[in-house]
Amino acid sequence: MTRWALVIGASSGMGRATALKLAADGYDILGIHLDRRAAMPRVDALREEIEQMGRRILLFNSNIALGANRKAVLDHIRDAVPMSEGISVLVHSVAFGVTKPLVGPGSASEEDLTVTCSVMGHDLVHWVRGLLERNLFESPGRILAMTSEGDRRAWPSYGPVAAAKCILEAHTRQLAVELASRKITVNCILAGVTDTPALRVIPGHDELAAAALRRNPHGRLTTPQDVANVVSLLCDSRSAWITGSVVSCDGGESVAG
Amino acid sequence: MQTNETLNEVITIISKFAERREAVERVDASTRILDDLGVSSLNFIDVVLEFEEKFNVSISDEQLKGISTIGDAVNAIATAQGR
Repeated sequence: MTRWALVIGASSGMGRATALKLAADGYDILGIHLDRRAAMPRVDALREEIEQMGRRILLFNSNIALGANRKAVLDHIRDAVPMSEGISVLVHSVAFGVTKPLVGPGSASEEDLTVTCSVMGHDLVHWVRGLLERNLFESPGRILAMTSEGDRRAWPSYGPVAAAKCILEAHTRQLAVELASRKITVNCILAGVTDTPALRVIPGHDELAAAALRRNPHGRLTTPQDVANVVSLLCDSRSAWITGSVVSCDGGESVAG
Repeated sequence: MQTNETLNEVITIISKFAERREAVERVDASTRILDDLGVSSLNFIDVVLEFEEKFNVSISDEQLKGISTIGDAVNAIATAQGR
């Protein structure tokens, strides 16, 4: 049976690794990304790599932070996915937020807080609703969203994103309960500090990574491949009883003293 | 494309996303895209994508960080065009 996986944030970091892993697992890929010209060769390389696996891939370069754009992409997806097929995995791996302090010089504005919480938090609900409204989501299904230890640690300038992660986790729990009857599981993956383009825009990311490396009992940082492997695990049929959870994927980093 | 033409095209593109219509009538090189014209931070990336498409250029991350005013945008495009 043809299975599609929708990866939001497919062109880099955890989303890219996830798209490649799910393709290797046999999924056709719908990938959403937001890239300027300079990044397009990497996007083309992703497409080629997945096509060489014998899988289909459709990519949408769109600012889906805007509701009108999100709806347009959903409609394109509805028109592109054959009637006999559907999406059985949704991965939300979006890094489109503001990293600024909450008080003092250069602090986050009201709009900064609203936008970050919307795009990195509430957005998950909008996508789930959009897919369900268009009868695109298969049963059983899997929804995975990416959170971080910033949900409980006050990293410098991470406040707006931390709030968004808490929103994301709350929505994960709620959606898990509301979608149980459809046999769709909903979980967050809490990756350890991972060296991705998204990490590198966080002020002080070098120290963040260095501190994580000192803590990590394996003596290395989490990689996008580690995260992709856990996505794959949570898409396995045997994971059907894991839902509403925040699943750590960090080699023990968060529990190390 | 000459600088004046670039300026006019930049203003045309930004106008599509500007919330403060009255401010659009009075723009000059020092006009701030977000603060003065009311372009939302959500829309700013779309503005840059349209710059790249219209002027057939690639705007780097460094250039992007430096774009605050209309004049900054014109300069970034000129630099990307190798002018």
